Amino acid sequence: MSVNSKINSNHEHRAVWSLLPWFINRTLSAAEQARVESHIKTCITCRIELKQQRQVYDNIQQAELMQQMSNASFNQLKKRIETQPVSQLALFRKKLDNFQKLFFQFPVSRKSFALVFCILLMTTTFIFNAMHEQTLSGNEYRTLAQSSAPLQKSKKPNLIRVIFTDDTDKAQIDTIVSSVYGHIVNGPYKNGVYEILIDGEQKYAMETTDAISALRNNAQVIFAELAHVSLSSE
Amino acid sequence: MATSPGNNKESIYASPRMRAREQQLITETAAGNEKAFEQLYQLYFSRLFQFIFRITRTRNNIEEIINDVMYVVWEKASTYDQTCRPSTWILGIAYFKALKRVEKSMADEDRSVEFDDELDYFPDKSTQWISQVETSNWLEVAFTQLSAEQRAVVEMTYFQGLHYNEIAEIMQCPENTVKTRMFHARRILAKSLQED
Repeated sequence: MSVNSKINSNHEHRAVWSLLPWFINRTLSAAEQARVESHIKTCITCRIELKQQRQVYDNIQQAELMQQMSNASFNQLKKRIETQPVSQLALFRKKLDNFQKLFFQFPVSRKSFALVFCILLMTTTFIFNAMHEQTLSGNEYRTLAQSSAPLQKSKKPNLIRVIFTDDTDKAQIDTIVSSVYGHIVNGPYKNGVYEILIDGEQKYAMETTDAISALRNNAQVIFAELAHVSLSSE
Repeated sequence: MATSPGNNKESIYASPRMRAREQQLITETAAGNEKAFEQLYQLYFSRLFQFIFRITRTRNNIEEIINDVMYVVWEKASTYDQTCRPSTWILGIAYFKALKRVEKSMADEDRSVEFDDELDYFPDKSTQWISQVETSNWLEVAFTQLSAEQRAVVEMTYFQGLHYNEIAEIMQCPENTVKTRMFHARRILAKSLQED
């Protein structure tokens, strides 16, 4: 090979070598493409380079940079979320989840859970009502004479509540009431209570406490008690 | 103005149909049609995002650069003479905007080293983010070893599918400069490929 042809060959090799990227992306003109195709048939260096550049090209094509950027960006966001202090609401939800997990890991059905819950609710309501009533009555001792009816203070200090036995008839009741110088002012109520007023203005009038004692001693009287601060008899 | 020589394979960006559509959108944009401009914006967003990222190597302000580029497109749409491909025109604007940003950030880096050495102790968040992308791809590692101009040539050749004379036009440099930049970039990329 002459020096001139060697120089030409070298020049051609360089020219083709520099065109290879655009041979790969197929943007060369027809003449340029033919020139490259002709040269690579005989040049192993260019064929190796071509193979290598194709690899680079394929990698760039498949790089999906936007997807990678999106993944990396999301990882940053995830890190930020993970390092954020837990909010009170999130904390509550977490506790609730833990409770549910703990409770439902036992072999208890949801129906059983609902039943237990109802019982607890009823018990709570009962206790609450009882406490409420106790507060209203001023924590006083309550007797049979007291009902659940609204409170009303007796304006009459000599008023007695009495319950007679079932076999006591009207006449017998009148006799017993007269014996303590009293008269029936109300009753009988549904619960069998009579309200008896002891007439203190009579000549032989009894003290109310004595009248109560006399009544309690009567076998036909089940119950007798002063009604000065008690509830209504209904 | 160069034309695209012998396209044997129509890439998604280089098809005549796409080119005609883009040219139509630019014409309508020049007439003040905001809908057409929005379509053009959507069409170029991911393409510009990748292109700018390849050159600047930072995600910071990419959207801002894209908007700078598209603002010029909106303002100068009437000056587009349709002799070159729309992508050549738009990528040309993007190239210089991105290069300007690279120069600015390099100058900022120099200034920060000069005046505040303590900054070195705080890792740059955007760098961390880039490293996540890089570790998943040898190619991205290789790209960090290239200059902004070399990266632009590789990106425009292998991803955007442009001929070297179009690249020369975009970069406003001689064709031989494009080939030389590609020559050096190829060496570095080949070396990284072998090491992978």
